[in-house]
Amino acid sequence: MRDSLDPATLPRLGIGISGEFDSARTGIDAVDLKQEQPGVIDFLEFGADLDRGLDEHVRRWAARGLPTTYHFLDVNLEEPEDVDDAWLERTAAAAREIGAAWLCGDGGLWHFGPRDRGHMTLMPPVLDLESAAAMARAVARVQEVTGLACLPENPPATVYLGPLHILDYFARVADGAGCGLLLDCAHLAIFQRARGLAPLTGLDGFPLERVIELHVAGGSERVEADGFRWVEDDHSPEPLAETWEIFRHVAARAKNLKAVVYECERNAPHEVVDTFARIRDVWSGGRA
Amino acid sequence: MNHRALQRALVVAQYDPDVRWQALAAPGLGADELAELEGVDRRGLRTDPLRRRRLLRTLAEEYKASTTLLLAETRSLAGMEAFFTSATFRAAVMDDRALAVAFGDFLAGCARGATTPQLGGVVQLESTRAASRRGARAAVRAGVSLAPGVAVLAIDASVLPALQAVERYLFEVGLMPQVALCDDAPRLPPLGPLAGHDETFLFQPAGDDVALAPIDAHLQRVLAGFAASVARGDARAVLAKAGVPAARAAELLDSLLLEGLLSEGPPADAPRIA
Repeated sequence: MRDSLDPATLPRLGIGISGEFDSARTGIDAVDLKQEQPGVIDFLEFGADLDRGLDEHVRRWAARGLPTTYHFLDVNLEEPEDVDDAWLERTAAAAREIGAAWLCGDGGLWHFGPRDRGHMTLMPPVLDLESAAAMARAVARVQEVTGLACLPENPPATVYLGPLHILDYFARVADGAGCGLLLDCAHLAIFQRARGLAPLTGLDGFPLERVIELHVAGGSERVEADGFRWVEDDHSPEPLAETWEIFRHVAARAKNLKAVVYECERNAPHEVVDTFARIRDVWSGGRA
Repeated sequence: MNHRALQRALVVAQYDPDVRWQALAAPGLGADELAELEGVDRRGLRTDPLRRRRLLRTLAEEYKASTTLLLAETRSLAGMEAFFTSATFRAAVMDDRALAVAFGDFLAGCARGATTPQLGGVVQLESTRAASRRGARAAVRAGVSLAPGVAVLAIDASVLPALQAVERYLFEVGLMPQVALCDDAPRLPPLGPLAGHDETFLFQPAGDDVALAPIDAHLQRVLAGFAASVARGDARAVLAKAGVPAARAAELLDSLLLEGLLSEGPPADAPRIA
């Protein structure tokens, strides 16, 4: 394995905020937040697809030499043929333009049929062995061709297919691809609720040494008229209690953890600065 | 389990939560997969009431005039959302076809029962443009054929003015969508009858978009002959059928290739490096 792909040798980025194309116009401008409240954020994770490309916000952040990661929103990691040469070339170029330390993104389906304008839809993988093997091949190819580490992330959903626990699925992906992992604590909390499991179920067999990045985000509990209960991954300010429980558990044990992103870019700064502080406290060993 | 077939079935169900799983006949969707799907709590598929409309908005971007004329005639959003319960939609998802092209097929079906005389032609024009946009990314075909993304069309001369009138109407309403509620809101102008004669057009990729240009009917006939790929040796016959004198055939063929309107790939049976 190249040094640049060895999870243990990736740089420690600290606490980051998420951003997407044009999100700073109506949400949080990371450059302003860093200037006005130093010590709240260390890096910017930019969610991007090739159709929209990079925006002025992330370019302005990167121009200051500040660290970034590139979160793709347009590739089906569950389908190795979707990781085509053109996508790899253009994605790697965009990631390098902003000096991204690595690539990451939800492992599943971001589009159906040919990659097309406005398709953006996120579906989790089918949780079975064949799918995990396919995703491992795709991640390995991304790493091999781009020379950048690629961290697959557990996606959210209201419906999951397949017999595996989502943690067992991504453990197999990491093992097959030799990659690090991005564990989204809020998405895991959603999965555990959907399957009627306790928040920490499955973490005992999960390769925590491969966890390079964690996500923390707020979610809203919904009850439909037909009685269906679910959690909307709406990135509202307040994380669920289970999300905190998962975060505390993993942050204390993931020895190669390099980055934590609080996904909150569409809120107002005053709604999220306390949570950034709480995240920093937990990661530094506090019990906030 | 075939995870690919399962994923596609789940995509269909997200847009059509009441779909019968057995109706999604597709290779790879066997007994094991159907059993897995039977276990889905369909309530989880209904949590996003705007899912259909968000995708319709994306699709309608490329069919602005078609969807406007159809809605003006049917006054039924449900009629347009019927796309998601149609066999066309299911087949497109299950077979990984471009959804924008499938939506054009659906609209063409709707247009056949419509009374707006230009609707069929407008759908044809917008469908061709959508297909051309996606075709531009395709590989050059074997033999001689229209270059990737190039298309030609002959349609009634009243179609393009109708499309332009709809675009003007949409611009006006788009300035302040609330006006659609008003009694004195802008209305679609009457489109009149068909002209009874055709205009001919060339569609050509231009960056990420497609340029539409009028061409003369003779060039349209010539190019239409290459919509399907033909062997180089048969190209002269295609040109002759379009009325090109034999003495001009070779020169015209070279010129169309040079201009990028036609392209030539190696014959399908050419030896390849393994």
